[in-house]
Amino acid sequence: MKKLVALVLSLVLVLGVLAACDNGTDETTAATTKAPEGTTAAPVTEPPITNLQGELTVWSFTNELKTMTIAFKAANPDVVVTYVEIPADGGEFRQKAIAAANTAECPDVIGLEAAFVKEFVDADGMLYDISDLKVYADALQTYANTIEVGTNYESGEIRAYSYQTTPGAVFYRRSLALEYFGTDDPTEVQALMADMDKFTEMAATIKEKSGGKTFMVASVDEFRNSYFSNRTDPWFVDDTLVIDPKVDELFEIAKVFRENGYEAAVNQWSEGWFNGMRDALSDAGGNAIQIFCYFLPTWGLPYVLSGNAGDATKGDWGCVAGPQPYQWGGTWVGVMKNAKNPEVAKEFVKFVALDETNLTNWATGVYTHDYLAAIDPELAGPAGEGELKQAAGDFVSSKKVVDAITASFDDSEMSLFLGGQNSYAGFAAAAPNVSARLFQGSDESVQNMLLDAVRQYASGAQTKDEAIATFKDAVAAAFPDKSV
Amino acid sequence: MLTGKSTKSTGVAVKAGSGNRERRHLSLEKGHVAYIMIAPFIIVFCIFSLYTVIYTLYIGFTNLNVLKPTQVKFVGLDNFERFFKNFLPKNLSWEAIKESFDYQKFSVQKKSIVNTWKIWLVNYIPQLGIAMLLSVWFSSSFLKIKLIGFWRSLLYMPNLLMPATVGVIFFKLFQDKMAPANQFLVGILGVWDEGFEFLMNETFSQMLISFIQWWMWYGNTIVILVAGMSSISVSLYESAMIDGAGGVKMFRYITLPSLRPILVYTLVTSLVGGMQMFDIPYLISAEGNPRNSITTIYCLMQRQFQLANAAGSAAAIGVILLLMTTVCSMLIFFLLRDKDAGMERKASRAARKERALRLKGGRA
Repeated sequence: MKKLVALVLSLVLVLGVLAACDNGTDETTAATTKAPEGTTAAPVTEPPITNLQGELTVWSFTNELKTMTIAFKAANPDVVVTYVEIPADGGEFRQKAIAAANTAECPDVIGLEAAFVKEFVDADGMLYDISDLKVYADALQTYANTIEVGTNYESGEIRAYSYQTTPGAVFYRRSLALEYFGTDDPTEVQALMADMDKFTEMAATIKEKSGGKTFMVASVDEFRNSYFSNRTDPWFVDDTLVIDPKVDELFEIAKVFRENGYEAAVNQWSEGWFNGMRDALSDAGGNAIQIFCYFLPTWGLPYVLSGNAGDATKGDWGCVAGPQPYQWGGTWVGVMKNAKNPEVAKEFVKFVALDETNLTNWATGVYTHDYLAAIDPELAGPAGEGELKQAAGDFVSSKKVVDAITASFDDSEMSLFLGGQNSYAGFAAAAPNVSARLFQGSDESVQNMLLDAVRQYASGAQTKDEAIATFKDAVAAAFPDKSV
Repeated sequence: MLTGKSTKSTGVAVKAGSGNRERRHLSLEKGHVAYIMIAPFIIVFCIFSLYTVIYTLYIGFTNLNVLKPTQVKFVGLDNFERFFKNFLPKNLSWEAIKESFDYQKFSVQKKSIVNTWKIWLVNYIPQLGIAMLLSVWFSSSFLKIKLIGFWRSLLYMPNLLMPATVGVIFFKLFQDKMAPANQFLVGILGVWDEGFEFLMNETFSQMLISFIQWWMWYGNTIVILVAGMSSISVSLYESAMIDGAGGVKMFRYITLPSLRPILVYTLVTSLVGGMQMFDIPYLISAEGNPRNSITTIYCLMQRQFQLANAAGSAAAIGVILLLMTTVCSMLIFFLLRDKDAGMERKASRAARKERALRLKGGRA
């Protein structure tokens, strides 16, 4: 009897441990939402109902694709969609997706962030070839750069599409422009900062006229993306590190800005950086200082700038393309090679990235909480903090849609924030110039390593040769498969 | 002690006399239960620890890339060779030897080992010293500090915080020229005219991590040391006092020797933890900036695995880390072993042998 009890107890223990290792698939399937039994509230733009059937599992890292899955269900009521969200912080999403790729857990559709989209697209046997959807992309005049990113380096197969494009811009303070340059008009300000030399001149003028109280940029981090976007080669060609001439230019411009005090030495994403947006920044000695402009992409306006600026500087911002066209961030969607239901998955990708109605709804704020709750009863309830919705203003990947809806942003909240300037129009002008073909999975880390070297050089701690040698060592140690 | 042992053995002897069969049956069943009780741990350990260690050793000799699993091949000692490249001077000239000791010219791999040891030692030595002093005070029956429980839990507090939170807080404090530390030093105290960029300074970054580790772990060490000290018999101190010993002498000749097993324990656990230091440095800078000065061995391993998907090379680093930790722990056990006890054991064994010989002789 004792033996039996002991055996049972130990079995329970083992089972308990094993069960704890299971990664909670129950919870995720519980989040599955049944196909709605008919949409009651009539949506603003009703998508045609299809008779597509099957099951679909979608993995992503923000709730953007969750909104998409619900909108997709309205059009495809017979498809059962399971949506799983895994945070992208610290590479968690990426790791999990790689681990699941060759297992039964493999999702059908996967969201791919700019930081690792290229890695997945170029990996062997990771994503499904969806080149045949290109005809829809052509019809929608999808920006070529988003397709370049989704194209496999070797085979030329298209493996991922994006619903957005993320050209970068420069946001400047209108009041400061008026004070130091006598104009706050975007066209004239753009002419003043048409290239990096002019940008530097502007910085000098601002420093002189403000007596060192106003800085052109927060730090040299600001224009890193504008330099990296304009290289000729990606960081690694044939597994060998390439140091582009643009990198050298970045070293020099950083030195100029640092030595002349054109930058406030406030790091990106630091408290000071956000304080500068609401004009509440003071230096270490407690004296108020100001930052003239910020380099931010399309998503930076609604998610970073307007949120942090608050009422303090609302309406005091202008948006221009800046000295060099650049690109920053974005989300792509692809079908996993081991998808159980590739045909439905392809339909989903088509719906998300290449469907005119969906993209229009997405950008113009049709997907409100009430709209989504009408499709998916599980979302029903009072709208509040953390509710699911897609606010108007995301910059979509189709030129056709962009052209059609730009005018509707004349009186939008974001346009009020920009002192009446239609930001969508500004981005529309910048979007075609963006190059994203340099994307590689390792970009972010390589660039952070380079930025350290740039800072060491700019602050005078190392010579340029020493700094570049340090950078190469760091890359070699982190990427044992590559040569430097 | 000796008397206790002898009674125990006689007890067994009595039982043995009462019936051999019964005893065997009893011990067998007891043994079974014990095996079943430890089975869950052994099974789980074998699946999740032993197997992974062996598998890590295996992939350490391959070029496995997580995204190209089909191209895996055996590469022998390549991964290890790459790690130890440029560790030793190129030749025996004075210049080359001098260069091999110049931190600025170290490879990142060499830096990672030096950083790990430096950050750990700078944190551990003061940690042990201060914890020792505070625990002597806390456990002293002569000082009679009031509210001991309160102080002890206050000092333990930092250990309850999540390393992630602590890392982010300290990062924010020293982040840039406008960071709170600068606002305090420049704006309130007026130490400098302008903010100092703390995290661009290699030594400061390393010392900051040492400080965080110290701050988080000394409370833990105090608790362990106090537990060890309170198990030392008060009568030893009383008799020492009667013999006229002072505080220092009592510490040197009673506290320290009695604490030896506890010291070995804290040293080894801290060493194992210190060699695997990862979270705080990673949160201060994921790339080990500035100039890889806060890249620890574990950070480097994580970077190769996560950034480059180079599982083979990362596994090799894991093996090196395991070997280093094992060798150092064994060295600590060896150096801090109880020499007196060893001698006593030897002496008693010799005595037993002698007695046996004498007995034999007697019979013969």
